[in-house]
Amino acid sequence: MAIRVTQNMLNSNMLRNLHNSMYSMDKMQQQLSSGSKISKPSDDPVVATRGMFYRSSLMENEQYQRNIGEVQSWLELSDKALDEAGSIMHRIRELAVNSGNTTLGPDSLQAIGKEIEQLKEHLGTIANQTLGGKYIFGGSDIMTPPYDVSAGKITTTNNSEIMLEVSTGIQVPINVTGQSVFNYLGNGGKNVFDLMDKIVNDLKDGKPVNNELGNIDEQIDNLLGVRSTLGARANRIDLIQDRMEKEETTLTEGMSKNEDADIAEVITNLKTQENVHRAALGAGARIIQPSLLDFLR
Amino acid sequence: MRSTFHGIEVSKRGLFAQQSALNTTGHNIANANTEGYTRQRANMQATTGLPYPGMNASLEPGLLGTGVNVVSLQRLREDFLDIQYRNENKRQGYWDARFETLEKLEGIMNEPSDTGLQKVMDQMWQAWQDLSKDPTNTSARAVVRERSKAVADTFSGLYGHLKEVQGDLDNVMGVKAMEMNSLGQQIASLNRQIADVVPHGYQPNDLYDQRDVLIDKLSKLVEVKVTPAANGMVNVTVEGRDFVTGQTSAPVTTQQNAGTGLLDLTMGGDTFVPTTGYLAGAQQSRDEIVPNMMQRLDVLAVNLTKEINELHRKGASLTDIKNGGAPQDLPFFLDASAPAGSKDYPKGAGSIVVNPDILASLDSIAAALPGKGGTAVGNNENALEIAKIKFKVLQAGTGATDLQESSTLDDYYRYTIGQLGIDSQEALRNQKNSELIVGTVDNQRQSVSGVSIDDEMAEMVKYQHAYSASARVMTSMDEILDKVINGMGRVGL
Repeated sequence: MAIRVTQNMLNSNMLRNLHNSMYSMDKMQQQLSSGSKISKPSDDPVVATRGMFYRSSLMENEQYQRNIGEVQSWLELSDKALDEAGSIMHRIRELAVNSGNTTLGPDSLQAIGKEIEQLKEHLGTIANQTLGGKYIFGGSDIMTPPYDVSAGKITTTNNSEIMLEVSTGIQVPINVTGQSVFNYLGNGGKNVFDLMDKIVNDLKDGKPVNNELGNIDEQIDNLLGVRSTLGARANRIDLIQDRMEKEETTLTEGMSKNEDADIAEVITNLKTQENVHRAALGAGARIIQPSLLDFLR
Repeated sequence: MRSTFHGIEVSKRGLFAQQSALNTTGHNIANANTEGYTRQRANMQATTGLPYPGMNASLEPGLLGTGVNVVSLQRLREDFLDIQYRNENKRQGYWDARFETLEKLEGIMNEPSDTGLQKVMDQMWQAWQDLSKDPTNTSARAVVRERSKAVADTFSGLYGHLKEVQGDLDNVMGVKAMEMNSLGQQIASLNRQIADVVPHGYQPNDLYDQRDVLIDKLSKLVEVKVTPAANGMVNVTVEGRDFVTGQTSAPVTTQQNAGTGLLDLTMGGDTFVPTTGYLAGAQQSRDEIVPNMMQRLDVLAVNLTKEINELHRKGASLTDIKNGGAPQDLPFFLDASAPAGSKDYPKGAGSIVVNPDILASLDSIAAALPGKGGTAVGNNENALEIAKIKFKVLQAGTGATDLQESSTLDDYYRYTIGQLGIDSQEALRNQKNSELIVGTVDNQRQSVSGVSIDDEMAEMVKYQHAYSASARVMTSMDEILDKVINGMGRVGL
């Protein structure tokens, strides 16, 4: 027997169809307005959790890049300071060599001493180099000047490296400790400031100081050593930064692939669905209306 | 020997019968949109022919027809479809309730988004990283404090929302229990009305319809089984227990549980835990789905705050450094219910607060870790350590607030959201399926029992013609008799 179809069945079937097509249009409309394939985890749990992961990773990446920026400014400033310190040391070496010239009288030696005194003062300001109000050679004691200007002595004893995380689980020191640069005791047992004090005193006493060349060279070597570590570190940071930038692109792309709605596809689907909806409405209007009643008089 | 007026009587019966049928048609049309109405049909049968068999019956040939009678007004319905419908209806009710809850939870958790818990936690870890860059910076400290407050607030906010959902579900349980109770009473009352008329030979079709509608409604709430009883009554069992027996129904009540503060259901005085249907869905939502999510948030909150607290207590704050460097032993987060001065860790997601000491002074944040290099203001080791918690794999344990599998906090939370998505997806799928099946079965039911205007019009035309024709027969009888009475025997007049 053929299935009996009643007006109510037609009605409720049509309503159900209309609801379904409205529901899918609503979904697509949501995708269009949000630009995202999903609006809640149940739309696609995998996409949702991956989306959370991407968002989190992007924030980590952003943070690491921020940290790298900080590391770079510390390293650059430290390098510049050490470069300057190097020039000073070379000038001192030059002067020390000159002082060995036997034609120089005590006056000339005293004049050299004066210049070295100035150079020492300059080295002191280098040791007290600040970045945003923080003494970069103070170890972790960033708020106290490592060099005591009035005493003319390096006073820091803090030898702590300050570490920053530049990628998951990787920490690098951002500073060079003043201890390792300015409190390096060579074979002569004197740090660079003490050595300069001795040189100045000798020159004042009219003694040439070319016998200190070995000690000066030791200090210069130490400086160079520290600078090369710094350079190596800067290289490493550059590599990490490069990696972070690439990773950011990959993550952004991944996130986009993961959850971005394909607008062209959605619009096409929406158009199709719209047609279906129109057809359903039209069919409904035709089917629901007439009954035998309309043709009986 | 037939009587003179036999034909008139036959026509009259015809008129009455067709009229009855027309009335039934009219009733059907009138109820075309009545919920649960079952179309009716006037069954006609030829009345007993003449002569009536008997000892003195005449021996004329054949039996002379005496017309027609409506013998029954039949309800066109199939019990089997009712059973199918109710079976699927309870399933739909069950998944409806679960999906409603899970959908709400998805809305509350609001992931993935730029405003959910994940984001807030990420921002907190960022703040610790920023503090590690600049441990003496007051604004970096302020950011750590604000982000941590945001984490605490988000946890309590989520927890509070979940509590509200649970409370709503409890109300729903109460309302649905009342509905069930009322349905039982109405079914019993209809049973009584039916039993009043059935012994007299009547067919209370419309009462049957009303009762079936009530049972349909009941079947969405709970699992029902209907068995016929005496005098047209039905007995209804719910999950195998007597619910409506004849003219009485077992009362369904709710009582507040002294322990949980939530409502317990009773049926007929005994505890009643529905296993399927909307009531079961609501109860499971209230007692399992929502508490499970709360529990997961608790685990997350307790572990997160514990990890931070353990490290923070070992660290040295700016105040400590000023005072000589011994760590202050200060937990970062406290339990909201902790008495002043105590160091109780948060016991759940709903009770996290940032330590008032930290709220009072940013210098109390311990970014430094006393160690080899001594303690100086630029020491950022503890901030670094705390930021690293994001990636720390926490070990599984067996305690109530331990993780069940070793994972990072992020993984644990993502798993929670993933699971919620999967559960919700499953509920939606099942709900859609059962909706479809209910729709199909209902269509089949409608196909049998629903009123079709076309049908009724065709019937109407049919009965109308039969009625007219019967009247025509009577007219013709009238003419015949007119001939007999007024035309015959008038020879010579």
